[in-house]
Amino acid sequence: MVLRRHEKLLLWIISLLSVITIWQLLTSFNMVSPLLLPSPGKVAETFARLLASGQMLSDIWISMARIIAGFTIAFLISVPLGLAAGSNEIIRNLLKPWVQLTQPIPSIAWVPFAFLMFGLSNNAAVFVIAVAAFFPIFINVMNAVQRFDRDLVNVARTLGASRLQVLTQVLLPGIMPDIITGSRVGMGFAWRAVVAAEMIGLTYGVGFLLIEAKNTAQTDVVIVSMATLGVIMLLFEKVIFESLERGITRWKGGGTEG
Amino acid sequence: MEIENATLQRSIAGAVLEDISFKVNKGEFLSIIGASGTGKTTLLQAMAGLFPPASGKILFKGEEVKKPLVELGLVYQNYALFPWRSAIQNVEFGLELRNIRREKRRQMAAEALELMGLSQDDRDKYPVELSGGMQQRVAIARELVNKPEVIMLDEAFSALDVQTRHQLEKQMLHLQERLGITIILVTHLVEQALSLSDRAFVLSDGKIKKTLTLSGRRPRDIDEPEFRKLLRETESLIKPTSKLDAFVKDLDYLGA
Repeated sequence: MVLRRHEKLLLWIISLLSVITIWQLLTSFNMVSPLLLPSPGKVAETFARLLASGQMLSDIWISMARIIAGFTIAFLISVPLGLAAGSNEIIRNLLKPWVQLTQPIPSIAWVPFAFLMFGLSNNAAVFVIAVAAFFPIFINVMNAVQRFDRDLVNVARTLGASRLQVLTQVLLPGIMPDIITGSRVGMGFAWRAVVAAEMIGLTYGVGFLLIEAKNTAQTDVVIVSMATLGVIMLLFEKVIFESLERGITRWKGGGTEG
Repeated sequence: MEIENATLQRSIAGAVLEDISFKVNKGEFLSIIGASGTGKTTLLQAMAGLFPPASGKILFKGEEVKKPLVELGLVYQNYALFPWRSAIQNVEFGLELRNIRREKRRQMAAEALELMGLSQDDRDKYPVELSGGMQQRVAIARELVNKPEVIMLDEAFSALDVQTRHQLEKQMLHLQERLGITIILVTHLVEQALSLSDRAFVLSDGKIKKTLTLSGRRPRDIDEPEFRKLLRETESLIKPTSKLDAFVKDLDYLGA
């Protein structure tokens, strides 16, 4: 059974409304304490209040600025390093032990190290984000280069391409789907990292808003912060990554998801 | 082209071809026949300048081939089209590298595709949207647009069905007559080589086992008794390198 685009949208809306309805019923009939779970109405009211005061937007912007800085650094390091590791066995084997040892470390575990290195500063957040986003992009790029069809490189050379032209006009366009996939995963890790850093020791940002709300038992603010994070990440997915993927879908021979 | 005492080695396992020498005459259709693993592709790639011989020389117009040259076109069995570029963009690739103006580039690419029988509707399609035969036409057009003097076909038609293969073979003969280009075909299909070529080499055990000079109108009548006799004799020179290879050879013979 293949669902059409409008059918998928309808199911999406039904699912959301169903959960909100159940939530409303639970709070209306006092089946859950309002301290633990405020009503949807209360949450909406809190969201409007935070938005109007400017605090919400300010925190979102600060988190996003940290993400953009950290992700950019990760991208600028991971892509060239991935290209080098993918095409050179010596470089790959030199990097391998460090990747194998550091990749499994959760981003939250990097936070204390970052604070010791950079103090309780934006630089610490940017560092943790960069580390979190680095690995998925680097590994995807390295693997893509390793399995890249060498015949394409050879054909380009026979058509007169220099080494630089092979890199820019063959290899990079060819591995673009893998760069996008790695970046998508890296962006998800980056958001987790920034929330962790902001919860543990930084001021401002969505993570800080979350932990402050928890410390003052403002469950409505906690829920608003969590929902905001979810919506921002969804927007990143839809606006940035799905647009990029639509650009490559036709030549990969796939259909687009509704 | 001239190959002088060339030994070709692709791995530490040893030489694939040892001390081979031959000439390629301008404008001829030369086939290099051999079973899988006899070094045909290695030879072609070395002739295309993709790697140097371990010893000996490969010469083109008297100069040693030390790197790939646009004059020496190479077409692969798997087409090797850039999947992120449409058919016409694939053909434009070499022209872009030479900084040819966009309008001129597009016109030249369109002409090359028309020469290979691709319709206007197919020009903007991506390789994944084209059949195998159409992809191979695009791959050949991509070489032709750069006006090579030699086109090397590495089992270029082997992945296609028999009907499409015959169509493309006739097209290559037509192009050879019309444009005067030299064609070097590497193939394990003996019948194909004998049908199309002016000359053919048989590779076996790292050496050129036999050189055949053929005459008569091409493509040759494969049902003709003389042709069948030559085919049997030539096939007997080619030793399959494995049981799987022997099985594949039988399938090819049966027209599978």
